[in-house]
Amino acid sequence: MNLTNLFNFKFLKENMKRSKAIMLLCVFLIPVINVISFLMRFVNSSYVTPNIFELSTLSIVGLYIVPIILSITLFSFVYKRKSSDFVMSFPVTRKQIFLSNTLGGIILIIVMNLVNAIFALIASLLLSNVFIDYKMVFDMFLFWSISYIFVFVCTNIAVCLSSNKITTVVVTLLILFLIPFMHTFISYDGFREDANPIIATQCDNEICKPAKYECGGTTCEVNRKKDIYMYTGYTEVNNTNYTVPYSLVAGFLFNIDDNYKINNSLLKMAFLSILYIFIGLILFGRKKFEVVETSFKSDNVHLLVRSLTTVPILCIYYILFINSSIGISDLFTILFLFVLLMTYLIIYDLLTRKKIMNIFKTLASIIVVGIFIIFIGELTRNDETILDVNDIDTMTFADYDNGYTYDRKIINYVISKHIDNTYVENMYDNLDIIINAGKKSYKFQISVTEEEYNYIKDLLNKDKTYLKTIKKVNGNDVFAISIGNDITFVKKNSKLYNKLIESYKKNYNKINEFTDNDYLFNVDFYSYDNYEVKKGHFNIYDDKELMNDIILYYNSEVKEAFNDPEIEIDYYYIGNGDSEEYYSSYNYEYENIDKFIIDNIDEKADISKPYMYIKFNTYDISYNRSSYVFFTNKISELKNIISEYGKLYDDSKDMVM
Amino acid sequence: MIKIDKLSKKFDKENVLNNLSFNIRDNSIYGLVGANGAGKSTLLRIIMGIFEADTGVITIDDDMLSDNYKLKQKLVFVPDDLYFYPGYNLMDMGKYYQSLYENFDMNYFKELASMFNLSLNKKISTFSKGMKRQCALICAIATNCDYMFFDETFDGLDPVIRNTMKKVLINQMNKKKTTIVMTSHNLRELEDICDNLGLLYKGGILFESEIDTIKTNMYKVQISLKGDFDQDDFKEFDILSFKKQGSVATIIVKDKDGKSKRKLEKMHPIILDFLNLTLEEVFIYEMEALGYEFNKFI
Repeated sequence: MNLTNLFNFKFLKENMKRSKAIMLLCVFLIPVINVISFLMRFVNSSYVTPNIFELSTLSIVGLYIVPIILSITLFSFVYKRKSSDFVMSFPVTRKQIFLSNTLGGIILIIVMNLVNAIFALIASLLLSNVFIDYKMVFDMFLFWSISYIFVFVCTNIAVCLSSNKITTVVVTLLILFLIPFMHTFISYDGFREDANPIIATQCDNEICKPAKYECGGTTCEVNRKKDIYMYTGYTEVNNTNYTVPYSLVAGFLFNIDDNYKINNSLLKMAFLSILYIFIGLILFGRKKFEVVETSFKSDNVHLLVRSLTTVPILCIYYILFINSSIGISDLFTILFLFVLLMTYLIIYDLLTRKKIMNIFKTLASIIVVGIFIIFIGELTRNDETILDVNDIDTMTFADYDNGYTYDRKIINYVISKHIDNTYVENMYDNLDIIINAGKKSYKFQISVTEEEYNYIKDLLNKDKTYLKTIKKVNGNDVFAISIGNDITFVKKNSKLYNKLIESYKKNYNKINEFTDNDYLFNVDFYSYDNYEVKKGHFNIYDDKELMNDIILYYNSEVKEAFNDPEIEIDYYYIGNGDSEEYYSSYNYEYENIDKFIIDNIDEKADISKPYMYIKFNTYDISYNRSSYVFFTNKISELKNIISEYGKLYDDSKDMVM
Repeated sequence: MIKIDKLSKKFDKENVLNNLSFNIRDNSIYGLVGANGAGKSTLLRIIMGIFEADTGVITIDDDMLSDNYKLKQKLVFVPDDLYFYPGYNLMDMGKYYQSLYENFDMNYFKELASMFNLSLNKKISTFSKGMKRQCALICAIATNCDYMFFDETFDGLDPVIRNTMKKVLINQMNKKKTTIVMTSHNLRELEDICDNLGLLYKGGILFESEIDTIKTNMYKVQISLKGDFDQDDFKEFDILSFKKQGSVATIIVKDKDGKSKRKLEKMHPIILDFLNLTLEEVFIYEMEALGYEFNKFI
């Protein structure tokens, strides 16, 4: 196949050249604003491990603007009689025009996202407090490129169908949102019920029965007799892999809880993009240039598109009605909503056709769409779902590295805890659980005591499926390590960093535990996988050498901080591993604490001896705070200093490891 | 050669072109005349592939235009409503045409710009309407395309520029063997440049002929005979119009075989004057002969 039959690069070059200002703006505006906003947010912050969206916040907004502007600019000639005559008369075929512009737009989008990724990379390298996995920069490039290209090709189709800019935007939005929106409306109960769906749990075995179940009425009691436990603590999780433009909007507007896999979504968009390019090619070949400057070829197409735009509005009206009881006030509401809809339609007509459509046609279209929505809505409506424990296929433990189990014992036990009304007095942890039952997924949280926690953990450790499916972070995938619950991040490739990685690799098969005791020795591993920054906890309490290395690391950071003569400290915490006391630096008497640190800055503290630590915060001219911890074995000296000024530190328990 | 065969086009159920068929021979200048809304611009847009015909076929050099890049290289079109990219000067436009037309002659383009005293570096948006028309025309002419289509060609041009432009177009046709199709609602604009003329009315060619032929085959005679006379005395002639005022009659005679002049002389008239017809008059009489009132068309 001869490429010149498909593309005309001279045309593309000239077409881009004539609107180079907009093209440059499209390519550079988002990356520049992204990097500026990134620097503004993080230059003065403490240590951060931003995810894709934090690294490219403006790209989210840009997704709904840049590709649409790009497409409308490249195909701007289709909106004016003069320019369409001019361009279409040139020796360029329709196929070449469409494919060249599409290719040009895709190249610009790729360049834009490449610039965005490079800028993000440079910005993250400039900021020593920002830790990112470089794989994420590539994923960010891929994610936004495919998403932007998808919106761009959807707009190209809209350009082929409509002949004015407003209807192009409207058709683009319909292509992007209408089908997934209807899918959400039909399949996602949580969206329609305006709250979590009422899901009762049916439990016919002893394990899943709750220890305590308090009923609030006859219905409840009748149900309990049938082993049905009324409980609404489930949140439906959307499992559909929608396209990114819809997912972002749905998550934001409809508060839809997503469990979708970005890779699937990207594949879907890539496939649809290719399909839409072919569809666009056919449509552009058949485009009626006679109707430029009007919305569509005929009034009927205009009416159809306008009616489609009312679908989401009427769906939302339907949801409003099913969630309210009809009364006099609702009649006013109906009237108000009707006036609102009519106003929208009139504005739409005026903007797109400069004349208002026949009122009877308008009313007829509203009635037809309304009946359709009510029919679909009622057909698919679920007022109450009973979840039979036996129907639960899998149970996923978000806290335990996202492994899942089929084990009925575990499933029944967790469900019994979920429907149990017993107040958990000594709560140890909240566990996030996701269950899959048929096509539906729900999530919920249970509060557990330490004993219950360990019981579940033990059961999981014996479950082969669970152990196979846990997605633990591989040591090689770690891109940042923090200590002391993110007090500080360990410098990459430092001695401590390498030691921690090594130790982590050795203990890879252990389920990691997290405890707030001795939090200064908590180690968190940051890894990046599947478009997410993941944090893994790692317990090093049985490794004294490593703990000593951490102490040395803390102290070396303090030494570095005290090299700055302008250092400002605003408060201190002094502790011994069991408890901590707060001391404000505004009390001038505490300057002796600074002196103590400076005098002992080269001391090699040892974890095997009694120790104390001074944790303090510094701030710079922009009130940028950083935390430091200084460990010492000179306990009595430190105690003397603080006791000179009253009862500031009472606990003389010295921690001996 | 451009062959138009049974071409029809509707806009909102209204026939703009109705089963139109005619040919345009190579290396000629074809004038399409018609009132506003007759379908001239629509026809040119269909030829250029901007619009698609509902039915019928157009072939150029026996080739169909649909997505035919090679054929499109042979065609250039200057629409009635001109368009230039914002901020472009004439040189930019020249370069734009050069990038898209393989045979664009930049030297000729500059020569034409200089001939019409058009600044190459001044923004076209600052030009007058007539100057913009000149810009569009010289860009098109410099493409050296085999087929050139000009809609309302001389719209906005002053008489001097109009004559110069006509010379340029005739020169182009003679030297480069170009076929030029131009439209106008004004017949007088086209009569001294076109080889062929077609009158478009309600989407169909109402009348079409070679200008030289229609001009030489028809003439106006002012005649007075001895004694009383009327139209019946001229039965052997192909008379398109007969008007008598007093003893002098003005007759439009169609002279296909060239013998009518001699026959009239043999009638021994008192007055006999042969006058040339303007193209407009030719059309008026032809239309009247067909039973139409010419003023309706032009």
